[in-house]
Amino acid sequence: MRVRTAKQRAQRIDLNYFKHAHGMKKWRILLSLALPAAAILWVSAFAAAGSRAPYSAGPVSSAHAFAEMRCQVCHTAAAATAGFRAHTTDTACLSCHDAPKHAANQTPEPACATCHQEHRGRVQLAKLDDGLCVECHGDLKTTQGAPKVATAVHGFPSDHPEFAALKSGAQDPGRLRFNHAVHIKDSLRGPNGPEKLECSTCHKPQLAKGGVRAKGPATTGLIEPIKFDQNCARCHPLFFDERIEQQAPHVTPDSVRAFVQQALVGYIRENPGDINKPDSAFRRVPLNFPRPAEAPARNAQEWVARRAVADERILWNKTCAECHEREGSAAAPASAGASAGALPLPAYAKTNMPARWMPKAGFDHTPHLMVRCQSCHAAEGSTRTSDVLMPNQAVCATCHASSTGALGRGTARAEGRCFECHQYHDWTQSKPVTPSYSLTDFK
Amino acid sequence: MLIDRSHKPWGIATVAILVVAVAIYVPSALGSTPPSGGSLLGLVYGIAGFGAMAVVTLLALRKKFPIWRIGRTKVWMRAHLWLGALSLPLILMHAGFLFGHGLTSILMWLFVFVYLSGFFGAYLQHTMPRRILRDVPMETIYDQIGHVRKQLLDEGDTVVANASGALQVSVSAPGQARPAEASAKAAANALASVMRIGADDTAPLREFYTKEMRPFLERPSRNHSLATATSATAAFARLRPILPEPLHGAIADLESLCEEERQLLRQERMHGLLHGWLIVHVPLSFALMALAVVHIVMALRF
Repeated sequence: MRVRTAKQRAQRIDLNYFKHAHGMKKWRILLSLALPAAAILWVSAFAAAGSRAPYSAGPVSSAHAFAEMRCQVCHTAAAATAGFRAHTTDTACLSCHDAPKHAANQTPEPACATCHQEHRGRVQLAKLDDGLCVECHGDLKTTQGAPKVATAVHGFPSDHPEFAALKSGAQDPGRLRFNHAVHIKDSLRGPNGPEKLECSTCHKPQLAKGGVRAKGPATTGLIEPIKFDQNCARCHPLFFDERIEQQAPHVTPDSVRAFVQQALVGYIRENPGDINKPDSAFRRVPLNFPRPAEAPARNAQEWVARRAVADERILWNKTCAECHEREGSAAAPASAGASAGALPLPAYAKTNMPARWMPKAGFDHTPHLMVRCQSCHAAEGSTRTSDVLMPNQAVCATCHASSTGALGRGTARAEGRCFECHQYHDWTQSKPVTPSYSLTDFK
Repeated sequence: MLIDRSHKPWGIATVAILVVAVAIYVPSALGSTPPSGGSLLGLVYGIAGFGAMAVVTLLALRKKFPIWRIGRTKVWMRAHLWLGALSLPLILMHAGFLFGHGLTSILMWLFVFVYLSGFFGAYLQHTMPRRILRDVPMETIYDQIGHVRKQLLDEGDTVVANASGALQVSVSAPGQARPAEASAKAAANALASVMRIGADDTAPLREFYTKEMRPFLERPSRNHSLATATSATAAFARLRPILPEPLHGAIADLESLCEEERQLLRQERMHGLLHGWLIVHVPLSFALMALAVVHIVMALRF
């Protein structure tokens, strides 16, 4: 049995033990000094190298990546704060970018960085969350005058107003007589026999100016406006006289008249024997009663005058009027070199076909080309020019949904945030930027 | 420090602050512009979070100067636990639950490590002292373990010398001028014992001690056969039948010495766990605070 004396018990404790730190305590003290020192050294090393990399809140946007390592390009020390604060000011942004005002009567506009938040990775700074727009447009106020747009919009399509072109009572302002339903029916009579027109036969993507781009389709995203020569002339030729193989040009009536006169003069000069031939041209005019045959013309001038009246009657009343709405007579018969007895020159309404249906928004057809046109545009049932065939917002909302707020992100829908269609800055007011950097500033 | 009923006010206050913070944060986060470090709300959370971190870190200073009249250490410790628990959620809300980039990212990860090591430490502080009390009844002051071990070795030598005569053993601790054989007093006692018991009878005891037990006492290892109670009991059980009855008392003493050594081993291991986490927690905390100050200055600048 182990027996310990009082002396042995006393000797069990080394009375000087507290004077020597044990291993664990030593390490703790050592590391407590070394780690903060290492951290400060790490920061100091960057400072010594003139680098601000550790303080970067993240990679900058793709557009600014070229200046990512040159913080001072954007973070300029303000004199007002004795050079300490180096927040990015609007001045720094505006030294490279022209950013026209959003609207003349908008409430105080935010600083650039309020909306365009940098250091969020290689993103596009123009792709903003709806919240930034809704801050004003959720309850729109203006500095003067009443707002001209909806005053309470919080997202698409939740309370986004219907597109202006589709609001109640809105009509296509076009004045060209056109029947979509007729043109897309089967077995349409074509120049070479029956044919079936597709939407794309007439409506083609508008090519961007400047030719082919390095990558991507060289289109503007819009549809090329309809032009007679390219889209109509194939099936609607402007022949005006059975003797003449030429078609009248698709120009103003006075120019057409001049062309007809010139064509007839040229014809009779080459065929003087036709002056005394009986006139059968009236057969082409759709009249209810046959006209009595007129006496042969006495000379070439009379023949041309007679033929011009007959040809113009066909043109003004049938050929042109098939598509163009007549608005009366605009000019005296004697104008444009017409002979006595000539018909008055007609005046046709301007076609007024809208080139863009959403003046306050943008739409790009290119990414939508895989969808059948008639999925969005109800052309099959359209018989009148005044029918608006633009899809309404409910059609857009089939695919596009807003993703406002933290929980809305990642919704399995196509992009539906404001920037997808709208632009904040009024780029019609843009001005050229004065260059203030050289390439070495970014190296 | 045990988290018991006395912590109730701290716990209630912490939960209340957290609930208020979350209640303010959630609507803002779900709204149009979620708060970030630079937003007004984010700054409020950042200031509150850093304040909590600073108070928590000051515990080390409070411990360093125990005589300062700046509140009882117990209160500081409670503040350390509860404000420490509160600090990470506040900082996460400050950062919009993003870990950021560069220094910010390092800070966040450091904070997570410090936070988790703190939780681990609090858990150990709750459980380990009881386990030590239960599993190490012969517990001694941790810093005394080396000293006690030397005494155990001396005691073992004495027990064997008393039973079987002087031991020819090598020096156990380098640098220490211990005699190559047991002390003179032990040798004198041994002489009396040897006169009573034949030398051949004690040979197995001497052999067992010098080859098995003494190395264990000299260089304790958890891999040694005597490091586990079962194998040690078996070893001593094998020894008893081959030794004369009068030596059984010495065997019991040796067995008791082995048990004490095993408990010292266990205490070492448990103490390592109980205090080892501080090697991670404390230095990382200081590094975190140093970098947090840099972060604040640079955030205000940029």
